[in-house]
Amino acid sequence: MHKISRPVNRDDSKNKSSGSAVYISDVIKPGMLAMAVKSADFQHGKINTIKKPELPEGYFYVDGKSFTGMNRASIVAQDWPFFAESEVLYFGQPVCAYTGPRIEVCEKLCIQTKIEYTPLPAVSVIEDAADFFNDYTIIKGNPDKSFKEAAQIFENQYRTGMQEQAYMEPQGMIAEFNEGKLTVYGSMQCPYYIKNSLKNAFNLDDDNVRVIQSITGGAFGGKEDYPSILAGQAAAAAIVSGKPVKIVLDRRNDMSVTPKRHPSLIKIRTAVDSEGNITAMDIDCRIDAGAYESLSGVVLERAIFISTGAYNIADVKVRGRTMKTNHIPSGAFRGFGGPQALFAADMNMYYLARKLNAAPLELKRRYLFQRGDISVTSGIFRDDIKLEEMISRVEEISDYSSKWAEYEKTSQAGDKMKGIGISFAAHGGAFTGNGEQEIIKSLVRLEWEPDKQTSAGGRLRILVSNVEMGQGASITLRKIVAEESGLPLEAIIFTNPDTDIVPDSGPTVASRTIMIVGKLIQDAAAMLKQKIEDDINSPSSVEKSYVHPPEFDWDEETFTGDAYPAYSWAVNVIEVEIDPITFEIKITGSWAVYDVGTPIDIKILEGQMQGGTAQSLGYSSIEKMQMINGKPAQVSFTDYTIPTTLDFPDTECVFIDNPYRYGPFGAKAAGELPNEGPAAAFTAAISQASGRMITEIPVTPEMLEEQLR
Amino acid sequence: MSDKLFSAGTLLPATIEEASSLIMQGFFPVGGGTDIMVRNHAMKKTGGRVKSPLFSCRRIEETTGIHTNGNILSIGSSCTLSSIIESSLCPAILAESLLSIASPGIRNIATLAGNICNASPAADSLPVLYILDAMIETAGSSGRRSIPVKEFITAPGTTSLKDDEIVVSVSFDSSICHDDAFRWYFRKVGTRAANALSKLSIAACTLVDNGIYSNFRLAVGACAPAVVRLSEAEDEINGKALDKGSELAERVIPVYTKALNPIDDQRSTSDYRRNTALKLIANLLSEGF
Ligand SMILES: Cc1cc2nc3c(=O)[nH]c(=O)nc-3n(C[C@H](O)[C@H](O)[C@H](O)COP(=O)(O)OP(=O)(O)OC[C@H]3O[C@@H](n4cnc5c(N)ncnc54)[C@H](O)[C@@H]3O)c2cc1C
Repeated sequence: MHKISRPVNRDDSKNKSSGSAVYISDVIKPGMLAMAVKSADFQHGKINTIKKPELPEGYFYVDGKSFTGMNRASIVAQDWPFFAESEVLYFGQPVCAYTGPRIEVCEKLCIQTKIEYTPLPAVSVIEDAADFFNDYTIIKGNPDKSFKEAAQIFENQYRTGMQEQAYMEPQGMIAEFNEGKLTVYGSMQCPYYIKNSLKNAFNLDDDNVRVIQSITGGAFGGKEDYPSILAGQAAAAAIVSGKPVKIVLDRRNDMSVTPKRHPSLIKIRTAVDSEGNITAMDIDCRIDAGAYESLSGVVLERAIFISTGAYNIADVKVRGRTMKTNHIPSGAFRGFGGPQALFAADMNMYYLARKLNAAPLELKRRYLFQRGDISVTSGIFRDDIKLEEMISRVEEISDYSSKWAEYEKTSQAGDKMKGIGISFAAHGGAFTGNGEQEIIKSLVRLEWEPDKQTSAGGRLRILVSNVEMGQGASITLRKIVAEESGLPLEAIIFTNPDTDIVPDSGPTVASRTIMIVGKLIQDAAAMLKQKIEDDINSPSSVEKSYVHPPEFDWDEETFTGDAYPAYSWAVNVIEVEIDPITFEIKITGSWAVYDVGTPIDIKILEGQMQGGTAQSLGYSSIEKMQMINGKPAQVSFTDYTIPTTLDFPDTECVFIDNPYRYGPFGAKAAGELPNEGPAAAFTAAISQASGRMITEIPVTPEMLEEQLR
Repeated sequence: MSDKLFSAGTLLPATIEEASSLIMQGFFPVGGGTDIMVRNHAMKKTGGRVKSPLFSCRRIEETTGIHTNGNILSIGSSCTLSSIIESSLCPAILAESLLSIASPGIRNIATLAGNICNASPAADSLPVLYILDAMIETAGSSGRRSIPVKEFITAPGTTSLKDDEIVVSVSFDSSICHDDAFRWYFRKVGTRAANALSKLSIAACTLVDNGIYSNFRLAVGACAPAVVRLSEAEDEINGKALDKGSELAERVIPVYTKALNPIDDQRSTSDYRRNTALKLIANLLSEGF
């Protein structure tokens, strides 16, 4: 183990566990107003009239016309309006809002606002959707030829459900507008996304928009997109009223209006030659984007770029589409398209193993990617892939193969319903495609502030726009700089980003913070160390911007080349028991082996892996989010059940050593990886236990009862 | 209002009279508040009826403590679920059903009276109280009443509690639970392992003498607007041999099938609830207790 992996105490654990951390809902500004948004109680319709109640003194009305720039948030695409204009496209869409001294009054004004609609046809599910926002096709090799020459062709389809991020702290923002300058504070992952969105919304220049992150109580992708909407709404209210305005969503409201993970429907045709080798796949991947495109195009890219999973298939055709439906726009969620694609890819290998009479592991390992292989986008896997070593490790800790053989016998005899499954997952680190080099172009700055009172002779400040949101960015970024500069950890300062102070090092997404930003600050720390050694008593600073390693090629037009600079890998084993009467599912074992390069802090990584695995197992089993006629049916934690500590066993985790040459101390992507593999391992286990080929998650007792009754 | 009613910011009447007078002034009784809190929050958002202001009964002597009087066990309405579970007087079947409720923090403050007064078809104490033939003891300015739990709950969310009344205690004859021939069964099928609401639940108990059922009782929760307990099926089973379980199951399952009428909702489906409840009953009978 590298010495940087040794765990240290987190710098944010004390204030968060003691309750002294100040979240946005705790913040009060002088003269601050409350705000409530009127959401559409209609799935799809043209707005005929909006009947507004009379405004009490000190209350203001806000709608799409309150935006002096464009009434559209900039969330990759610029199509999602802050407030509906002539048409409502989904249940819960913001139509207008009220701001004023008392929240109860604002809420009452919303209830009293009556909207009349002319109904328009609504589409609620992928199957019924005809329109799409994006339609991409990728071809690797010569799939047509392989299908023509195939001895057998297998076809199956896989479905994944919606998932709510369920961060502990609901979404919230405060906006104020003073002397032409707009300042926004709130819970967020991407301060510069919000800043850019506000500039466009109000036609303000760079100097006149400031975004400050407040302590963020969990995000999981859920605070990548919607904070831009909320910030726009609060800013409009602050500009209209001339007062600071706060909006905090309560849980039901948050769950009713914010984006969730894209449901998917993925069809895979597989060509097999006369010797039983898989030669080609034809994949049709549809994800449910909801009513606006927003960032769905990028989610789709990540899904299709990894559409054969961890398996090297020679000839591949993939078509991906983001289907337009009438419900909440789907959004970012840890894994970002990966969990859907990997579920389908891995379950398809399980299906093929069953069809070809092979043990699933035996079939899967024949196709695992190896160094030098070609990805779906015709990129090259340049680094060592240690999946064989990872299989040995996971066998050692889980005893997968012998359990699999045992359950195969018992499940055939039909007595106890036990099963075990294994899955393989890959996660490309950093932004997809040309994101890092062409779009984000990260810039970081480190500053040295001399201070003779301190034992280190001063403080070194990390200035980046990446946020601490519970994942441990603050402590791990500080560790990297401390290790490189040789300064003690206490001398390294990280504070919540303020866009007036920090440069744009990009959003806190895509498992890029350590791998990309961490590397930049490591390099900057090496340079600053030199300056400090030359003159410890003078302030100094270093800036460093991202340079894409020259060997990676990417063509954004054709989606060919290296979609990601490096991949992280996971092997998951999940063991289950199904109650033969109630079909309740008990997960009896969870094991995983990860290759994330060098762990920057082993405790933090274990936390990520435990939490991510539980989140993925929830996604696979008890987390059911239904959109009934476009309206979410589960909008509280009573009905939307996320796992508690009693639901799943701890995951036994192993990290293998495989340092990445362009990562800080060898680290690569880690945060999203635990969400990629468990769903397929779980569903394979359920399939073995039930003797059925399960192709859909979440797997509920209701679904098993219907199939096995 | 007299100052002595207030203590640490909470309204705390010391007598039934004070309590009923508070109710008549528009106050609502609260136990642990774990249901009222959630319900009031939802009502505020939808413009529904909020239960406020509140008062607690916990200073009224009669509502505290767990006592026996002969064979009758009486549980005060202010007793928390945890204190009932921990009491040596509490029969194991009741403790098991109360342990299936929520999580330790909630059980430390929530009351049995609150669970009953919610009158939710999914309230987890109810199937056990139905098979123990529990009585709800109430009191108010119009006097005292002792109401069988089955009559106390009139519809989902409503009870026969009168406007001026509070629940004082819950009582039942616990002697059967101490019989050597006593056997019991409780099974909750919830949405997850803790802090989960019931999709369905089954409570059953019986005496088994020389392999023969007597005093067999069974109740199904969350599968109809109210808990289902059927004397027709119980009569069929009583007096029959335990080892004839499969035959008994065949005979009574149609009876239960007719009575169960579960709903489709955001937590489960009607089919699942019905089929699973019936399978659990059939399995209980064929396996024996
Ligand atoms: C997270 C969570 C999980 C839960 N899980 C479960 C579960 O698994 N199973 C389950 O059954 N329930 C569950 N509940 C619901 C609730 O906790 C229980 O029903 C609990 O027993 C209610 O008791 P209480 O004392 O808190 O009731 P309160 O909220 O205080 O009162 C409930 C109702 O009873 C009335 N009331 C209370 N005391 C009296 C009295 N002495 N006289 C007259 N009326 C009275 C109140 O006016 C109110 O209408 C859960 C609740 C939460 C928040």
